[in-house]
Amino acid sequence: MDTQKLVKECIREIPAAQRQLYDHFAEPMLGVCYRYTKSMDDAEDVLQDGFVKVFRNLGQYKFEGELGAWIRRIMVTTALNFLKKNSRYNHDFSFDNENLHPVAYDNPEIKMSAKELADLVRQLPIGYQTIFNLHAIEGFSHVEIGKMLGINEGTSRSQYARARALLISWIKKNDEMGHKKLSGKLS
Amino acid sequence: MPENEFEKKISSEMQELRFKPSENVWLYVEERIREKKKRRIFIVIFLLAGLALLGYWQRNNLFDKQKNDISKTAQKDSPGEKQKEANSESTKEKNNSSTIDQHTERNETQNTTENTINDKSKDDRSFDDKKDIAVSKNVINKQKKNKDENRVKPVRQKTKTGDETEVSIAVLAANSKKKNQVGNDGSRELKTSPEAQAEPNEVNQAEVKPIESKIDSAKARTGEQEKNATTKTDTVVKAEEAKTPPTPIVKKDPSEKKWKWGLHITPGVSSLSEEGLAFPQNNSNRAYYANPVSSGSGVPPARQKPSDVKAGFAFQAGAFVQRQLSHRTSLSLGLQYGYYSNVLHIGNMRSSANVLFYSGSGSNANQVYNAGGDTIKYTNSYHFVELPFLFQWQLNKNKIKPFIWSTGFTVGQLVASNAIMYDTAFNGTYHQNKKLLNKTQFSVSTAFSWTIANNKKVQWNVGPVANIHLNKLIDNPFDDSGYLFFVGLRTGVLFNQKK
Repeated sequence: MDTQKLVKECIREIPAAQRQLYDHFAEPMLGVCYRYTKSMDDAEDVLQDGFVKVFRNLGQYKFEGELGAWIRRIMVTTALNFLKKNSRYNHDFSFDNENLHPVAYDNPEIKMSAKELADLVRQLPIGYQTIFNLHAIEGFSHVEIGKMLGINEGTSRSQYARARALLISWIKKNDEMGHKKLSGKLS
Repeated sequence: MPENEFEKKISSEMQELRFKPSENVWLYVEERIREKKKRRIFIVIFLLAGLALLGYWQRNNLFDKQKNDISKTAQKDSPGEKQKEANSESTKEKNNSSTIDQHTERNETQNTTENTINDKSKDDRSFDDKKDIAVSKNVINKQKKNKDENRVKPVRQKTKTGDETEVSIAVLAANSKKKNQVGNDGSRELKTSPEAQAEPNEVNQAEVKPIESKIDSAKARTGEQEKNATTKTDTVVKAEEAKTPPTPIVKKDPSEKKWKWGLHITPGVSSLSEEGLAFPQNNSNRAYYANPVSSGSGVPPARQKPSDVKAGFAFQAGAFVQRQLSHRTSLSLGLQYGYYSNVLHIGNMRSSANVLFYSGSGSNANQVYNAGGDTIKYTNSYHFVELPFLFQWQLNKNKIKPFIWSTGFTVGQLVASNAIMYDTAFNGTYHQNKKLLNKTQFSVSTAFSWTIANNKKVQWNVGPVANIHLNKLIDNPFDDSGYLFFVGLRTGVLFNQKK
């Protein structure tokens, strides 16, 4: 796919080019939106709002970096705005200035599928879930996360540490349950 | 960058996470990106209409001013011109007879060309041939002057109003009376058309040429005298002008105030649309709400879509003050109460056990309804206090029954509402969420009004009104129907206060 040509045709609002761009990026971007929300319906809502913003602002893409990364950034921003505005999320979408939590350096083995792992992340409280997604998966620094969410760096670190600890404990439990089931079947 | 191996593993796993979205997602995206074009077009059309209106108003004002200026200059010129012509004739005849001088004086005092002509015509018969020649010349000139008078008359009548109009009419009447008087006098009977026409007919063409040459010589002689006479009359005219102040072209009724006030009531209907300046759309196009993608084992129940938004009863009532800018334009500022509503068709109210979810978010936990179904007809009502600011332009020229176009903007503050909004939770519900309401609203309006009755004290008018809000009343991420619009029939009374 010739990205430059595709983008230019989308800017000229050629329907076939717009559809092609959508088809290419819709599936991975829905995965991104899925990680930030609590339901597939909400994820689709974020996806369609995100793509509307993509097509309206495509003229601002300067071909510096990958198109996928640019679209992904828009999806993340759209997801954050959705969480702030949505009444189901915004009352939990607050970040208290907690004491710094020590970061655990466990590195358990991950034997789960991507979807199972995403579902585990989605079970975290919304604040933890968001910061975990932004730092561990998107790769934003705590300083950047602080600016995006309007919190200080320390709060972001602390929230992330708690989220990480919680997630690791669930992964380990999941592994134990998996062993038990397997040993039960074998015996 | 991920801190250690755990983050790297998580990140790489998540790169593989993909889901196929439903087809309705693309339909929605496509619809939204095409709609923005339509909204832009409406905004451009509205702005162009506003610019055209402004330009027409300015043109009218400038054009009226220029017309008045031209009329002023024409008013100044016409008496002077007439004076000149009258004097030029009187100075020509001075050489022929001494009695002409007397008439000249009379003419100067009377200051009307018709009298001059009549008096001259009276005395022409008693003069010798030269005078007869002069009479014939005068007759020809008189015919020309009649034409000139006809040309000048409309200007005078247009520019003068009130007392001056009456004066000009009186003058014309006086002139006509004098004509009749002359006609009634048997010895000096003169009717301009038949006898005056008879004389030039009697004159042979051979006589006309020497006549003309004699007249030309007389012209030369009287040229200087004419100049002196005109300068004298000019100074006289100027002195008179200096004494009397320049009269205004359009005299306003001194008893009419610039400020007026009035009351209005405007019943109508209101609803919510997806676009501020476009027509409302049916929510049934949102098919994606009906078939959510299954995210787990089993088949989840179908999510209920938002209800179609139906129009509800609305009205505006209030008072306003109006300031006249010109005889056809005015500005008004009002204070009014606005009630608007829209109707939803929803399902039953949910039990309180399920609605604890909403309690922390500023929502009314006791009023949660299922979406879908036609069990309950719920009326969302909105109570506003509004400040309309309107520009009014009279489209016709009838002062008694003006036809007016009003356009302007309104600032409103929502003071109370019982509105419920759609949410995707629990497969589609409706509940109150005041956080989604934008309480300060800006809207544009346009209206036409016909005056149905007008007397000294009050003026009654009626006409249609349309009001469209520029910002969303309800900012709901799950339902785009958020722009309020209102159409109604305005009945108003304007109090014509006199001093």
